[in-house]
Amino acid sequence: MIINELAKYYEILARDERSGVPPYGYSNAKVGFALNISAEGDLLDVIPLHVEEQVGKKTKLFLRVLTVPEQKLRSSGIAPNFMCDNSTYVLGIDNKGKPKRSKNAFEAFKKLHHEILGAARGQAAKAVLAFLDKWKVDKSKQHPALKDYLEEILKGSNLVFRLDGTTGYLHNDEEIKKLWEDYNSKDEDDIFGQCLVTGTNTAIAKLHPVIKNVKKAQSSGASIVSFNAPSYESYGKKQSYNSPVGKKTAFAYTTVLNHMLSSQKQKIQVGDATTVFWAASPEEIYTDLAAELFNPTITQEGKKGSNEYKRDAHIEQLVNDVLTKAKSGQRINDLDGKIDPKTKFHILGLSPNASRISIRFFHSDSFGGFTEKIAQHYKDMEIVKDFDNRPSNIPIWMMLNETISPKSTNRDAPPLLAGAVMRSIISGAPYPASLFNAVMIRVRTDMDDKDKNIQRVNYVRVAIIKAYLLRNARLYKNKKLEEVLTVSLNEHSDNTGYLLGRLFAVLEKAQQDANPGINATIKDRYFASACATPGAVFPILLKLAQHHISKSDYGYAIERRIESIMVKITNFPSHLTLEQQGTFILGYYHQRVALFQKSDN
Amino acid sequence: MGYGFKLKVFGDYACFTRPEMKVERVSYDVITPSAARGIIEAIYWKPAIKWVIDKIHVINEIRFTNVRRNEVSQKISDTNVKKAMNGNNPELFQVASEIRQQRAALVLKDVQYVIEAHFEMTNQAGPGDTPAKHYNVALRRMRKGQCYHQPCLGTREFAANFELIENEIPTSIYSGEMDLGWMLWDIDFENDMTPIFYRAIMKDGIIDVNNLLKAR
Repeated sequence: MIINELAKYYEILARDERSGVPPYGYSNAKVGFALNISAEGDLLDVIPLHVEEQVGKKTKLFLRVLTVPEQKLRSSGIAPNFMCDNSTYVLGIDNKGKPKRSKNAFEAFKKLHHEILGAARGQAAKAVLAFLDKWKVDKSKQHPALKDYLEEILKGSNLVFRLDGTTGYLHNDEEIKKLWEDYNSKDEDDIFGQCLVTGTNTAIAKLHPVIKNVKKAQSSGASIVSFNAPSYESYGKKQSYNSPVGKKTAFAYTTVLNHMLSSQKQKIQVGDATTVFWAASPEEIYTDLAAELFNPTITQEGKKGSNEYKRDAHIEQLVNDVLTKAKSGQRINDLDGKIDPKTKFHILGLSPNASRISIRFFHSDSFGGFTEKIAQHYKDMEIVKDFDNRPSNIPIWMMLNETISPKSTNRDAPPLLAGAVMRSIISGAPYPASLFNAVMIRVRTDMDDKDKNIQRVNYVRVAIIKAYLLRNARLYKNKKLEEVLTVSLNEHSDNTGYLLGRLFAVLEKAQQDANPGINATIKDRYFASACATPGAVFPILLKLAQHHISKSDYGYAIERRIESIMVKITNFPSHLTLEQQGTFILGYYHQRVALFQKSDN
Repeated sequence: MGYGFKLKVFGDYACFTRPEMKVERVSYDVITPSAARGIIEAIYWKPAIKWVIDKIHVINEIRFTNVRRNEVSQKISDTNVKKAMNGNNPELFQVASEIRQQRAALVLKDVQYVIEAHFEMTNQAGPGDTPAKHYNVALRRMRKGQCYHQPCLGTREFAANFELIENEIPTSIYSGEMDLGWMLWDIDFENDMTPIFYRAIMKDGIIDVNNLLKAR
């Protein structure tokens, strides 16, 4: 399933030259310097390979990423890489303060190159060997060619070779590449078996390459497939022979996963899960679209009111088109000739667990199906805006943010919740009850605080409540409930919870009209109890409202509004269930937005 | 084939762990033939017979959920067991609280399968072991819900309920063909415990294990 799809995606990208995915036996590595050597093996000079890149407003220097012969997984032992390694191995010097070990590393590096390039005839390979033979580790720190960059070289960035007077790097030399591939493909210790991904009989990988760039996993890389304690092993098998995966497949899936994780375009963070997504196509348009769908750009106007939502101004018109169309019930396939809605699309959520990576969720669908699910999600979440600068399509991270206390210092949403929310969005299933509960807890406990920008009943929370109730109502075919779960105020509904919510909003307005600029309203004192036990609270509130009405200038208008809602309420229930409380909040929000829109006019 | 059984197995959760993701567990999409064999063997097995899984019907929709479970990192090593057999006194226990590990798992939810299986006689069958006898014992045990130990859906925590089907097999939610990729078929215990994989293709909710294995 997962490894299989990743390996397939590798094949697709490997065929496409633009992708920059390294072929089998090679890997992408960050390289700091090139050593320019002469045909006789003398080190002439050192060429820094830094590239300038724009990061925000500043330009920063980055190490250049080159495709080099595959770099091995290294732990504490000495294990040289071919043609590209750090100064410990290439020059026998570093700043770790263990000269003896460094020297051994250099000798190992030399030995490996003699082994691989020993039979070479070309000038390039001979120059490398000549350099290694001539190089004196003891005197290397004084070498004139190294002088300018010595400090930086010793820090441990990778070094590659160049032959003076020729173009390109030596590891790209045809003969050297061929010798490397021969060397890499034969290994006497290979164990053969049936690969569990391809089903063919092939050499089985003993260790799989590591996966990097998963948030909060080990920065040096972690593994999906790993067996590092006795209880993981079965049937007396060791290491990855417990799960026979062919060497090439192991290379393919890790390479492509690392490729996706290193790009910003193909990954998003959902709770603790680093999520990558890909379509079975080399075209970037799919992932660009998907990235925008997951994380809709919040328009520039959002910045005006508050600095709450800072996002780039770049708006994907196409995504808006897709969403508008999908929301109005049209099919996606008549959109844009470049996209085939039948293309397979995969979403993989990886979450860290020490040195291992666990799969939080994996979902496969057609691209069209995926877009429809996402659009359905945004449609379910749609609700009238209390301020114009609210985003039309609420990104997932914003939803998850509402499940945690705004005052909490730990801003991470519960990992299981994040995964469950993501799963229901991409599969179209009902939202997890834990999401609803978490939001209801926030509504009940948070107090309005203008300075800290905390709002008890806010746009995102109400959107979540509405979406949750709507999906459940649809699932259980509850038409009665569905009618109040609208985008904006429904004045004809006679759902008790909803009406009570509306009534509360009007009562609050009455108080504010009577005492302009009042700090604490009935919302601060009574909201939670009115929501849970209306029978105990509303009589008090209604009595209080009489004073407010008599005090305010346009009291009769408010009074009429109270009456119009009251005629539909038959009784004040002693308590409301959690779902009814959801409709209460929804009614409150709808009515409140409607009240303020009217006052604008 | 005359001695075939149709057995419905179902449960709230199931985890047919993929070998490549057996540490942070991820389940296969459907039950593996070896897990199905394990369920039947929990109900009835004798050295004289060998169960063969013919078909697997996937009745319910394939749905996943996450759980975190407490597992342990160590096993009691076989060398210690051997030492104990030789009269030494090594530690033959584990203290779970000291080797506790919390591991994430992506498991299946609300599963229901129908297993079609038959048994074959092995060379350990004695003169009294007639197929008819074993058939009737198995039939009786399945009908009455007897088992040697509680059968499970992949891992022990996920107990399996079972029910003998004597009439119609419930229809699957799936129609059309679905490729489930390579799945573990079973372990070849006689041959250095080599795992054998087969290409699982589900047609109208039915995986014809025997035929797929031949096509391998």
